[in-house]
Amino acid sequence: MKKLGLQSQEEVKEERSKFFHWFAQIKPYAILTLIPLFFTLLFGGAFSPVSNTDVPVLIYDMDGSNESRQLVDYFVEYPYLNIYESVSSMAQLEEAMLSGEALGAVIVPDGFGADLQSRSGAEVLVMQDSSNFMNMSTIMQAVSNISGTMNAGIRLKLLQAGGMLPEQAAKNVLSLSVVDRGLYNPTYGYLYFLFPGLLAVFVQQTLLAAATPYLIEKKQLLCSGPGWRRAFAEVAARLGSFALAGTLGLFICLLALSKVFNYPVNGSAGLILLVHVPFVLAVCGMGLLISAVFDDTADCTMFNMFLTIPTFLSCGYAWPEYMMPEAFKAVATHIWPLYYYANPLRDIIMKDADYAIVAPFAEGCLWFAAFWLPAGILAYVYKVRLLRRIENN
Amino acid sequence: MSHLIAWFYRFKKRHPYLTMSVLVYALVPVVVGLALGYEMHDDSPVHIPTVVVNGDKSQFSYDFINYVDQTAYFDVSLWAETSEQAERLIQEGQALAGMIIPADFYKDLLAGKSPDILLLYDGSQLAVVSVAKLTLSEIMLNMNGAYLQKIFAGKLGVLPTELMGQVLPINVTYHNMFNPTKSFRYYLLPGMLLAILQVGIVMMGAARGYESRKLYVRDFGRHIQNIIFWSLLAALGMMLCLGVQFICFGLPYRGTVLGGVLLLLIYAITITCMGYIVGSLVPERVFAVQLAAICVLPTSVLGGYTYPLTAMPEAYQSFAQFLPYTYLGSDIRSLCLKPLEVHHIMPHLVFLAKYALVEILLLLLIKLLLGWLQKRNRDKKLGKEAAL
Repeated sequence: MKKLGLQSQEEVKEERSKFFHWFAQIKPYAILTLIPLFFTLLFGGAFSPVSNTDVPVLIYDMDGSNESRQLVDYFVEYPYLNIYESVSSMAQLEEAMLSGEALGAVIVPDGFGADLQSRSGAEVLVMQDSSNFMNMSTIMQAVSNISGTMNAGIRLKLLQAGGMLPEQAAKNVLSLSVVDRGLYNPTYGYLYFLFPGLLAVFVQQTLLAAATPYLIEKKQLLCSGPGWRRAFAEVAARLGSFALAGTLGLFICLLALSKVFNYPVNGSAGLILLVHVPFVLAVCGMGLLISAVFDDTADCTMFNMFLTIPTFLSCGYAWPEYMMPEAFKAVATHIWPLYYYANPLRDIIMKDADYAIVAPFAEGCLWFAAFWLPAGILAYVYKVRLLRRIENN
Repeated sequence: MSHLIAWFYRFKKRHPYLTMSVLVYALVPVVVGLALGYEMHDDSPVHIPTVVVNGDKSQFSYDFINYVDQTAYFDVSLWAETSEQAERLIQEGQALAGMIIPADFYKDLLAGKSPDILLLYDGSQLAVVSVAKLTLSEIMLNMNGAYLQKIFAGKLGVLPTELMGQVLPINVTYHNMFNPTKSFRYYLLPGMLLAILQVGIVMMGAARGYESRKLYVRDFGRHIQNIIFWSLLAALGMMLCLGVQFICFGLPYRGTVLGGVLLLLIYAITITCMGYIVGSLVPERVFAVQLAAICVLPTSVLGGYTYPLTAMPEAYQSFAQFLPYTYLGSDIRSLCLKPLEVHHIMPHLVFLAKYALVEILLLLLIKLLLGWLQKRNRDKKLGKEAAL
């Protein structure tokens, strides 16, 4: 009985060790397929509302006339603003803007109604917190729509009062008509804009997260382990399986985007693969290089995680490529491959770009991989040899 | 070369903490700060490449195009014959905005037929669209005003002194507070740089937590020492990163210095402690580090720093209230751009301090539980060995 007790503890240990071994085997593939899906669903849910609503805006109506109340009513009825009228002085209003309680303020000065009636032109002051662009755009759009509507109505009345026919007056009020079209993203939604770039980063980060721990462990084994030929084949096969899982992960995410969030995924799988395959090769090259530098898996993981946001911000996706300083662009496109992937992925998925548009990126990425993949392999082999020498000494 | 690499390898083996600490708390803040500051030193999109289709070819339309071109925001560098060609140029990324003036535009305008000007924006470049759309709206408003002045003066005989009051009955004056130049860099970089650093901070916390997992409640003082020491380094790293922006790229800092230092310090404790807890719980070092990073990495998006919380579903808004980054991101940008005093950020400081306290209590509980489990297992083992 006692013997049995000890045995069962050993068994538990063995079971646990088996579980850890199984977990270590399965973890890279879970990272490559499930983590991107999780983040796609998480971020997709966050960005799924197209409009910015409930932006807190204060109204300080110093006039209190019928005209000013009409203006206030327009603001209250506007769907995207959350209107408060809780201040009675400019000091209170400025304090509310400072503390972030209000992101905008509409100040209707004393005499607004009288100025409108006397046709001498009434003034409205709009203060907006321009530290956040999206809120500022929402407020400006609202003010522009409301003041535009009110102005058009007043002008119409004035023209008709001057003897102009209603139809003619309406045409004159709308003399310069502007129609704007947001190509590829008609609602200017963040979801549509951001996701191709996010998917590119998911592919990059998950591939690094899966490949580098394996490569570092393999490096330690190679110091005293099997011959090069067999090891090379093993590493190539494992990296290939990671690349396949990563590709599967990408298409699962695209499917989820399309089905769950009605994202209009354009382009063909062939074109996506045209930029995806060189990118995977390039990331493998970078992975080999990073694994050659780092000897501790946790340290390497830290370095990889650090790459997420800086590589995204410097690849010409969030900050437009034409605004990058030339020197910066030259360096950024020669030391990291995300530029060749995030931008064409956006062009394919959002803009339905054809081969002619995508091919230069794929070619650029192939050149990148042609340099950095052999460089990564050489660095890796060099490091293993160096470690062998150090161990022998 | 090989000697140097071998020396570095041995140095890293001898001083594992030092190498990673220099990387996480000094090298990354400086390099990333310099790189992104340099990349975005133009502040906001200007000289937006714009394509024009001028079907009208009247003097009025050329004047209008010139007017647009002369603003700092647009660079009318591409001309197309048809709207399809213009769209193709936008699809290729050569142009990011387009303007299509139809044939007989001016003739129709004079005839009161209110012809349309079609403005095209590349919706895949939101940073550009936000600037282009607002600027073109202002230009169109001015053009419309100029045209209406002619109508009111010519057809209704309104006196020049009364003209503006009738053409523009309600004149709106915008006052852009805190970021008058509408700098995209000021909007994006302060919080985003800290979002990058917090990933390193939480992972360092996880690594330290993992290494100290064999220390239980008895040694809780050691855990607190660890957390405080690594948090101090983290806060210094964040200050260094922001310092690069202030010194090299002229990022303003208008708020309270004391408040800023307190915010970074308390935030560093919160994030280090979060990593420490993960490291104490997860039985594998790499997985602990990865998990800790995954816990904070999405907060740069979910904390409402770039995409406002008011635009997210309610459940996300509620969830964001429990993310420390929600408070850090908005406050650090505000401290840079607004003349805030300590009392403005005090509620957030208090929240973050409570958050850190709860984390420390949670760590205490975890250590109690793990210590109890370890003691029970040891007693069991001893009991069995004694019985044998």
